[in-house]
Amino acid sequence: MSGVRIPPLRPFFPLFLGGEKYLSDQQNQPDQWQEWAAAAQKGDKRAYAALLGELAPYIKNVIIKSLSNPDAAEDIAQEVLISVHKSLDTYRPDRPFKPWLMAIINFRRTDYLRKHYSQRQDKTTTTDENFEFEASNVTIPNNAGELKDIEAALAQLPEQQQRIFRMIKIEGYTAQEVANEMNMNESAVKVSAHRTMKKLQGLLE
Amino acid sequence: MSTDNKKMKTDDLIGQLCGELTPTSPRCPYRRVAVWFVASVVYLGFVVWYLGIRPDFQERLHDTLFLYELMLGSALLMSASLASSWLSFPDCMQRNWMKIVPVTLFGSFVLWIVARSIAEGMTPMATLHIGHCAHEGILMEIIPIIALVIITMRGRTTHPYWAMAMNILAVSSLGWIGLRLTCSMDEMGHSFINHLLPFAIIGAGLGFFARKLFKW
Repeated sequence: MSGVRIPPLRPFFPLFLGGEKYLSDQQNQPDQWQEWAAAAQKGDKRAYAALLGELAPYIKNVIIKSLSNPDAAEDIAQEVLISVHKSLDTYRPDRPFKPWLMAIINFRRTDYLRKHYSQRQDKTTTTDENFEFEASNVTIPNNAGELKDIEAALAQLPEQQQRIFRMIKIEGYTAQEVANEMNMNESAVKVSAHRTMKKLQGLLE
Repeated sequence: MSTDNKKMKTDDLIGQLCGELTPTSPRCPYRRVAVWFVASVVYLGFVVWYLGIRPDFQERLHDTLFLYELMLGSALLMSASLASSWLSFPDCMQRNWMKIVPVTLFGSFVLWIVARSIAEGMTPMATLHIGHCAHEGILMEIIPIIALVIITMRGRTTHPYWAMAMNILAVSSLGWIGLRLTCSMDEMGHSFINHLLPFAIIGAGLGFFARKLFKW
């Protein structure tokens, strides 16, 4: 069910089904976001929660169209939300909200795709006449998930991700403690740990 | 189940982000770059004063080609620093076209150098000037480039390479203007090799680190 996407209604379609409200909502949405963003800059947490709550599915919908793996859309959407949070002061309420948001979405999506393709390239190798590589990296079928496999998969990830993962999942630190230790945002630590887990699952499949 | 789980995680994240919200005022795109511009021009004036202005400066002010070069350099400096400032906003203040202005000016600058080099020929240079101008140029540009890179780092650029290119163009034109005021050699071959090339190479080197430097 998670893969099913409902396409947006075509402009003519709502006219038959009392869709004027849909159309006006679509047109008013960015104005509403603009107001909420302006209120959030003044510290209005309710407006901010409403803004992020509406942005999350919108961002995911935009991203999912350009990805072969729909599961990654959630990760990128979360990263975009964090980026929106970090760069809130660069939004000027006198300018439209959507181009500002789209610039961030495109930036984070490109970032993700760049990492994705570079990692795939790293994984490409041949075992022909490379017995040492085969012995240390190829896992016997039905035998995956051993500690050495987990360690080997973890070693393929960036050092910072490894560290966060080890501290939270193995050593038992809380996200807050890791965030303090690594001078990072707590939410960024959680997102990183979550992503590492997903990557490990992918690597061990 | 899996969808619910993910939804919970996004909701948690939204909750945390809302908890961390602090009031903030929208960043002004012009303030920092205006401060940088004024401070850099004052700094350049100080360095030019320290190194000594070229002896024939008064005469050169009557030379139209010399004035044209200075004006071209100034236009490049202003447009590139403004573009750099706009590029430190995620949506470039919705003025993406702005990059065209410094790029076009730089193109005409290069054409100008090539045309003059062909007309004059690549004249042999005095040995003294080979390192001398490059050192003075570095003195003129080192602090402005560090300051401009820090300003861009504090922004939220989604075009790191463009932002770095604009920074390099702005500071290189500042150095070019400064060297035209201190160095009395007007041959284009000398200007190209000593006044521009070292900084173009340094700039290209810095460009490789743009994405890491401006990561956010």
